[in-house]
Amino acid sequence: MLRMLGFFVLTVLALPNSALRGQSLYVLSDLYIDEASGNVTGTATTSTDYYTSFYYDIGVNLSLRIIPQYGSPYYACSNWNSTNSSSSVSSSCSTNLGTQFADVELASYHWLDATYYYYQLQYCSWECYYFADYYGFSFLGTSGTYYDNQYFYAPGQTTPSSQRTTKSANLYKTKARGGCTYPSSETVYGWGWNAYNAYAAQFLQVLNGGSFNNRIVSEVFPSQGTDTCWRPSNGGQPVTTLAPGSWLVNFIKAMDYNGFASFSFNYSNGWGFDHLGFYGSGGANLLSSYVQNVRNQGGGSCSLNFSQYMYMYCGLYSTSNGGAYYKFNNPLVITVNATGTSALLNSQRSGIDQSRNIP
Amino acid sequence: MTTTLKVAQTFLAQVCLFAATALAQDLSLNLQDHRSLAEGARRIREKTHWMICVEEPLRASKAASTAGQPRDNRGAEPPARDKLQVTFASLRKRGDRPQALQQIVSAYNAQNPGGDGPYRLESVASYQVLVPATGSILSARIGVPRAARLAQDHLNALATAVSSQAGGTEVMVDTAAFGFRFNQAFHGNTDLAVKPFEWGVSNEVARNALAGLLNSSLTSTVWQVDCHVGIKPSVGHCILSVMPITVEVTNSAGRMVKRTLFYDKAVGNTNVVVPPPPPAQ
Repeated sequence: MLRMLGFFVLTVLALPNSALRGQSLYVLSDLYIDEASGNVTGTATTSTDYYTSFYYDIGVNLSLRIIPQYGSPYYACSNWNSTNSSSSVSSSCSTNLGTQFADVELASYHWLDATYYYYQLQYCSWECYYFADYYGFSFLGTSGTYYDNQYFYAPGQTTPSSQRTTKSANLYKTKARGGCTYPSSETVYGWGWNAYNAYAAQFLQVLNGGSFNNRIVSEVFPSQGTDTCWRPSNGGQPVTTLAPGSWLVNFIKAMDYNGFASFSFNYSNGWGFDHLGFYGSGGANLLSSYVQNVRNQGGGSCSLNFSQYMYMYCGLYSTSNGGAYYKFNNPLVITVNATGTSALLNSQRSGIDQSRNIP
Repeated sequence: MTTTLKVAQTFLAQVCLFAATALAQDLSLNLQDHRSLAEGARRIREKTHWMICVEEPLRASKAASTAGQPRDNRGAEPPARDKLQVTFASLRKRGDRPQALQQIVSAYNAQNPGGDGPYRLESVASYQVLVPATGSILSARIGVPRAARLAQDHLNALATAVSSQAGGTEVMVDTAAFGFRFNQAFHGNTDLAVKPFEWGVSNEVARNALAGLLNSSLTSTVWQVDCHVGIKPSVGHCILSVMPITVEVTNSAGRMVKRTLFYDKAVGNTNVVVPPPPPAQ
């Protein structure tokens, strides 16, 4: 690292802070299952951009855990790799499942160690030289657990720092062996409001990455949500979870929600509706109470938040061979806004919003 | 349905594990808000999984509101603030339940003279119900015509029957705690699960009728009756909330988390699809 000091100082002098390009970090993994042979291979990679890679040491560790349809889970293999001289490092490990059906979990840990050098951050004599985080690496939003490949980009603001800092991220992926593939993503369409429940928004989903017709998808809410609208004076209790639903994926048709009879939505690989909002007269009454709560506090908004996980079963029309999660931590948000005499309900799934006025 | 069975068994094992740990804890309550008794019952449910329900008395309308008291959209007020301070010496085993619940009733009655009380404890089927000594809207005898309906519609029919026995006070059903999916939680969540079934009662105490109806649900369900004070000329109203049970459990990472129990009575039932829990929760 020391050999680069001269170049580092030269570069900083040449570029003002505002023009500095941030440092980037990629964490990637993938899981391959050969259905015929039962071979399973996991790979994981940590990469940083070439331009800044010489300030950083990077590494990756991965393991494969097997959850057989019958029997106890076990760790099949693990491996790690690191480098202080390259912008990318990978690791992999393999196992063979034989003929058994199983869920395979790939867990990878990615890290990046940064070493900084003295730099004069403002005009003075020697007393204001600091170890300087030149690329704003400290601002990378890592340190979490993720279920998709991630790309982190630092804002590029030079800042004082300790001499060494570390950023890390966990990546988690799972697939099922048993003749099954799973969606790579899901396209969400807001489809108006339920005809019999005026405050229940409808969402249609189309699955991408293969053919999934006649498979069953289910939702899971593994953690409690939040309901900032509820007050003890409302009675009952806050709405902190949803009863999990399941749907059959198929060629789905839906009429235009404005009432036109033609099928303006007509796709295979679809499922729905996923409803989000307030049902029935009891739900409408609760919504009115929530609006009143917001008004009682002088206006503003409150919300209900849930984290939805989507699971797909392996077999056609069947749940007997297990499956895999294909969507993690999907945000469902219901927001109630009240300002003056007007009130607005907003239902959001996967970032798709639907709003309507509350009379 | 192997998966469903396996999941259900795992789930029940978790609940049993929870019961063993949670019951070993003591609990102190220091509550001061609207509906402290109901909040106390909710917290005990979380710790013990006991099926505790709370019913407020029907309230007469009054001429003027208390300054600062929140009103709902109908111009009605919640009951005045009350309090509940109690420490349970023992919540260690299920045999402690009658004593613990009697303790909460005695404490509430002593600490809130002139309030809704006194309350008493009543056992109905598997439920322990905290009922005003003067009774609640569910103390009346009702009749609900036998008919094929969905679970939510049965509840609505029961509420209509209760309302007719409560001097015209409107009784509304609130199933929001199920995430607005009460029918699925009751019947099951496959495409064919939610279908009408026959139910009705004749000259039966409303509380017993409700307990009997909820006994058919695939999800453990409790109820709470909340009555609001009407500010004249508005009349008051009551809300019959039915709710799933939320309990504290230790997750696979060793952390204490809250779980709402859905389909906990559905072991082996093909109308329910429950995937295994996601990893690393």
